[in-house]
Amino acid sequence: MEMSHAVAANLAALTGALDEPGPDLAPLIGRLGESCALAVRSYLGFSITLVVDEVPVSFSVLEAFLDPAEILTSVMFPLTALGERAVGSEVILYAGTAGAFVDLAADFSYALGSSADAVQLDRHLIPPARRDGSDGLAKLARRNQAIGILLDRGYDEPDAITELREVARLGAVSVDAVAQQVIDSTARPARS
Amino acid sequence: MGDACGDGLMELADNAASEPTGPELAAGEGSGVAADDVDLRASLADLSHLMMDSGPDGLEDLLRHVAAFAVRAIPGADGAGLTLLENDRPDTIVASAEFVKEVDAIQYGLGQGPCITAAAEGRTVISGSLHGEKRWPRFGPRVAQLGVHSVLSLPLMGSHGALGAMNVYGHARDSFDQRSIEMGELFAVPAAISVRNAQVLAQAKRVAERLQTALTSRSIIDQALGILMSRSGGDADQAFAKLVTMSQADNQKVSAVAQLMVDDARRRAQARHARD
Repeated sequence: MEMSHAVAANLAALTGALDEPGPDLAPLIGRLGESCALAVRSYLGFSITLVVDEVPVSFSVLEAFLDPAEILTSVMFPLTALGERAVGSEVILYAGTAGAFVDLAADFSYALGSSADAVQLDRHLIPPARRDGSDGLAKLARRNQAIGILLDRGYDEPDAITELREVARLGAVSVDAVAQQVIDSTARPARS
Repeated sequence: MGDACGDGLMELADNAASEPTGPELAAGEGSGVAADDVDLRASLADLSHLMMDSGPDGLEDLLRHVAAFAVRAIPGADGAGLTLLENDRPDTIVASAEFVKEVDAIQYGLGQGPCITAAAEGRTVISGSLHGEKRWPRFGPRVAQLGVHSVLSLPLMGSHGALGAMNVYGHARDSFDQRSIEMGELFAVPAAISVRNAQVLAQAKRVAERLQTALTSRSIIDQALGILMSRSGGDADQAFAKLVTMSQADNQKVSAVAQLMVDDARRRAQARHARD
């Protein structure tokens, strides 16, 4: 099961942002997929989502040419139980044999010390259409660029975030749309 | 492990107790067999609780416990080690005793030995006289000099092949017999399940941590881009090019230059607020 070029490219870009030494993201994610494949014979792929500053960023590595109808079972476990992560951060595994994740789900529930509903079996049977991280990364980038612009204009960070949310609320638009407006406001008019 | 697994482990232990095991179990050996079964049941019960206690941080701790339980469960064992393979090479390696670490270090240093054979061939490997062992002509004599003469290696099987092996060592010659093999193979099945599930969790945690760090670092870079865009009016690509130029001029990483820029902007904003 190979990672798509888009996922690999986005992970490479993110690895470039890392300051401290450590493994590159793409091989690390590849090893997770290999471990899952060893644990479950009919394994078809996985999806990981991290929610950063309220923006979900997701990556998926799925069997090539996967027909969604092949997915007969899934298990989701929350990353919140693995450390300080925002709600919504999760890993979903997919497989092609019903019941393939029953033991894994039971083990995860006990190991994570989570409540009965936290590890979910067979509730995520439709894989994401596209999860190469690009949607979430672009939104996160716009949000932080807008915060940077507001920092330069004298806002401190909490006030910058509050400003984005408040303008979004008043305009009944998304924070992402407001972030784009802030970015657009920096454009200098072309000289005639 | 979950209830389903725990019940399955107890069933395995019950089966071990009830199955006849051949000529070794003549009358008079019943008490020895009963003691073996008690050890196996106890080890399997402890294994079933291991996932609950170890948590996602403790892959190595979990493996060490599995090795310790194996020593208890397998008759003749003086020590045990576990090796997980990654890209067909030995990776995580734990041992229940110091001498096992030495023996496994010799094995992996030489690239030959019972664990390597067991994992490569996906079958149980046994030897009662390592000194004269022809299968591993360099490993056997070296290990015998350490006073280890018997080995029982059991592959830990995943769905597509061996994910590692469990090595059980005995100081005496012929430490392991048919009963040891049966107990070991019974134990290896739930041990492999524990190991591979723990491995998935441990790796998911590693990915999440690394991804989180990268996204946080990227956030600072984007805030720095915003600061540059506000000052110069360019777009994000132009701002990034500027940031790269600055990092090259200062001989610093882009992320470090970005952090300094953002920290400076925050300080000025705080100073402005203090004045107002």
